[in-house]
Amino acid sequence: MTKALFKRNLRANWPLILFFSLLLILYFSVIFNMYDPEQPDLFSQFASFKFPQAFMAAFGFDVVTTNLVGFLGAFFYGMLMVAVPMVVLMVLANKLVSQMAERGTLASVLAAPLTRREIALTQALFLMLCALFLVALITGLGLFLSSVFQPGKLNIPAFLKMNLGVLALHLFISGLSFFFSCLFSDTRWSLSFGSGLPVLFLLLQMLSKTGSRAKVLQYLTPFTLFDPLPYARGLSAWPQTMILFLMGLLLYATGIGLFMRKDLPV
Amino acid sequence: MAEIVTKNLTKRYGERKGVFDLNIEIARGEAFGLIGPNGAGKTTLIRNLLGFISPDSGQCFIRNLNSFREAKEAHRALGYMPGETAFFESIKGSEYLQFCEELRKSKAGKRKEELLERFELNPGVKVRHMSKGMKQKLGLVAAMMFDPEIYILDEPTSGLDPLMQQRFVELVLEEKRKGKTLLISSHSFDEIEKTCDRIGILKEGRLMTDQGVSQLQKSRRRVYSLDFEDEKSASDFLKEGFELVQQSGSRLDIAVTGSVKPLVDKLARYPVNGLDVLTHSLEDAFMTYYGEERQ
Repeated sequence: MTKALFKRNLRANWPLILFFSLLLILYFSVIFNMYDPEQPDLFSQFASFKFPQAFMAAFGFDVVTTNLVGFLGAFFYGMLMVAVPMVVLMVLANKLVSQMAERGTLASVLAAPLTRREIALTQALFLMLCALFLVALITGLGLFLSSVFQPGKLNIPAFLKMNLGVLALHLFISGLSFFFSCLFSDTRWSLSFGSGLPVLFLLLQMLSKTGSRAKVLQYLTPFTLFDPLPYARGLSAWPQTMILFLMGLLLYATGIGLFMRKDLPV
Repeated sequence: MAEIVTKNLTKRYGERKGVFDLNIEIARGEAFGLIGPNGAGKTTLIRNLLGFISPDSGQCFIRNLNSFREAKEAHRALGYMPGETAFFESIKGSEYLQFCEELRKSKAGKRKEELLERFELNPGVKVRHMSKGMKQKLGLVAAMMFDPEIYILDEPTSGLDPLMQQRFVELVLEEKRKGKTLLISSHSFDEIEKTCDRIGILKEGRLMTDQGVSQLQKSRRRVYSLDFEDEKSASDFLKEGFELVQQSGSRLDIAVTGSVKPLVDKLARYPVNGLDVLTHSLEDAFMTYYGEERQ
């Protein structure tokens, strides 16, 4: 790990991270505020929008579970908590390696007495910590809001498990983007693959929820491995979480390995 | 072993692009000038030496350390300046230098201030608002401020005005007196001739010549422009058997290889109003290697 480079990353990227953090906080607070334990049939509220059910389902609003974890799982973790951090992580992954190689800003770093491994590890760690930060931020916010406004209503272990699940998903997504950022020194390609694939996976997941025949699509997207539904029912999804987590780590490690060997014409 | 070594270094980017079978040794305290047009492979060689890219075959070493595999250790002794330094967006010059210090985990201290002063550079300006020359100076300060033992400078003076080029030459000569080793790539023969002991000419990725500056100067071919009082003495002088490049009226352009003494001796007997030196030696040497390209 190289402190100087880590600091540099933070300086260059804090506005982006701050903006999306605020966006997440805003969304979460609004959705949290909509929860009304006295009127658990929340679907009637959304049904009044008269959206077709398949459309609603695509966005994750398909849970009939009525507790707070189920409510948050359906209306926040089904879509927003996946898509918003995903955007941040995809952009960052591209900036941290591929864009630095393309613009040549990597030259000052490479010319310093540092190993390639140290450089790549720093960038990987920065990205992983960003994923952790965004999930931890919302986890903390959830715990805080529920203790103030809905005391005793949040099943805390289930909520934590759900957040761990979404963290594993983001490790996987960021690992995928990081891998392509290390593979290509041309941002055209690193962006196309590093962002194109996660977006494709997300679209497939959305499509797979729109009907029984489309359900087969869920086998084509790793995003299926994170499902907020079981947590609301008090279940766990450790195997799925572990698979995402390990695939993420593997992608990061492969990316670092590629970076250590590749030609960097800076 | 020499400080900078390449052994049969080959990096291919196509038929005539890249570097091919380069063998260069630069001893401690030596200044090596690398000359060649764009695309001759200068930057490819330098990237190999820095370990940014790995050779297809052959090896290169900085102080006996493999440039690619042992880059971290090799870079401790190295001051590098890229052909065009890419700085981070919206960063000030001083912040960039500080970043370099943090990366190296060492303070440049007084040396940094001294260099900034000598290059008359205000580091408080954002890099985005700097001219090409200012960026070039910033890159030079970054490369020189740690007082490295070995310098690798890729076209260090492009974009600098003549005064700053002169300052640069002075700095390089000072470093040489301290026993530093330098590799400088350049388009400017003048600057290389002033600073370097040895010159290597690269063409299409191959080293065409590698010889001492004094040796090159001995075989230098210079063109003198002579202004005679009248056309008759000009045509009389031609019979002395010197190589004529061009004649216009009473003016003769005469080429002389090596010592100028025979020309001066003969010239003493003629009415000459003026004498100018037209071209520099290395450009001539250069032209013999690049002549075919011109045709």
